[in-house]
Amino acid sequence: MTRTTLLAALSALLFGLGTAFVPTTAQADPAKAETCLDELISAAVIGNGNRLRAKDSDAAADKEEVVYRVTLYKGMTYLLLGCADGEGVDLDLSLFDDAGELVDRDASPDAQPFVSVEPAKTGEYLLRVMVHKASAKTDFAVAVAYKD
Amino acid sequence: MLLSRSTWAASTALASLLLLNACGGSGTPEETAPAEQPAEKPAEAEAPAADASTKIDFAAASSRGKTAMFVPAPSEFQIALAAAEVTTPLGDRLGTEGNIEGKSKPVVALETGRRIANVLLASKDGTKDAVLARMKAAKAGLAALGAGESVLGETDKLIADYEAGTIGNAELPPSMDLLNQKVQKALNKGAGEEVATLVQAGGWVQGVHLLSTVLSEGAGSKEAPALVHQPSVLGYFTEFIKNSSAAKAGDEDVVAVIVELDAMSEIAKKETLANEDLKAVAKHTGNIIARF
Repeated sequence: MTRTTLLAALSALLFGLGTAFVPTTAQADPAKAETCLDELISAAVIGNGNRLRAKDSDAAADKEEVVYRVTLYKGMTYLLLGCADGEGVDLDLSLFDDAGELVDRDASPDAQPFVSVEPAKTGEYLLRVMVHKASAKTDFAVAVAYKD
Repeated sequence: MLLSRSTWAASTALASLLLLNACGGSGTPEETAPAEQPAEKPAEAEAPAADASTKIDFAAASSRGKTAMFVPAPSEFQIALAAAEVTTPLGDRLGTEGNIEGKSKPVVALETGRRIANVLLASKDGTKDAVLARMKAAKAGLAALGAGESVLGETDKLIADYEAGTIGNAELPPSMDLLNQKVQKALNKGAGEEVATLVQAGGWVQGVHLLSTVLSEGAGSKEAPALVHQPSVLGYFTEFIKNSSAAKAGDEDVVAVIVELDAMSEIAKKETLANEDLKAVAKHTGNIIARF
């Protein structure tokens, strides 16, 4: 399974989810966010021979952020992904290195962002999850997976 | 190398084919034509970013950062070893299981984390009997921590599947990853965050001990020492253990572990690790494991 194939599978699944969900306004629904993420993990991560490090769920209001510390190894390929509880929400992921510099981001205006990265060095990185276009507190779930 | 939405166009053809499956039954082939739907995504990606910042105050953000996904999984460490050209078999260096009888809960948690890591490390080149013994030892640790019937049942099922040959050595690491998720969730909910984190710490210490040992013997690429040079993870565990109830109660084993972690923290301040540093790390982690 190549990285391109993994990303293609993930992209396809995201579209699948996008078409399956009826667009809604943002509202607190942690179960929906977690179910959405679990579907992504099952199909695009585990189903593609990749592995899950961990996942977490949280909530944020519009333009609020939640930051995660993540240790990444050089030589590995990581997939960082998330799901918000409503299709009307724009959930963004940004990854920063230990100098505070942006490594990569997914700022596309949807509720299921993902970032794939091969770290330049082993160490601590920060994954920033930011909520946009939310009319209320929005639940989201995020995960760190890695290529076998 | 970055591989996010920016490389999306390159995978359009594959995505399009898969899209047919993902959306199966939701429309006619014409409505879900491969060439049409994927084209929407790059257009979205070109929309102005809601958050355009390219810099973050790392220290400030890290200090308030959540740690739920901070520590690498034991099997992730094993893959990183291969990436760093560390080919030395680790299965015969795992040592005997530590004693959990009469030990305080934090020490049992550390040893259980070590046992879980040992299952994964043994699965690469260990015999079936050896791996089975490691699995059963890990389950005993989880039982001693009060992991709960659900997790213990899942562990029993994994042991039975492995014993029956339904799951082989190659399938064991991903299965253990999933079990580990459930273990962490159950321990956080039942035994508490302290126990769950110490289980993670035990696995990490075992991994660092084995790797620093083989690296000090000359194994791996020149970049391999970076795998054991993780000051932020070390600092996280050290602070956590220092603030644990067992440390505050003066638990003899935990106090001894803290002394070793502090010594490792001094070494971790260096920019890079020399061979004598790797030997020192192997000695300190060995001293920690000897407390189990």
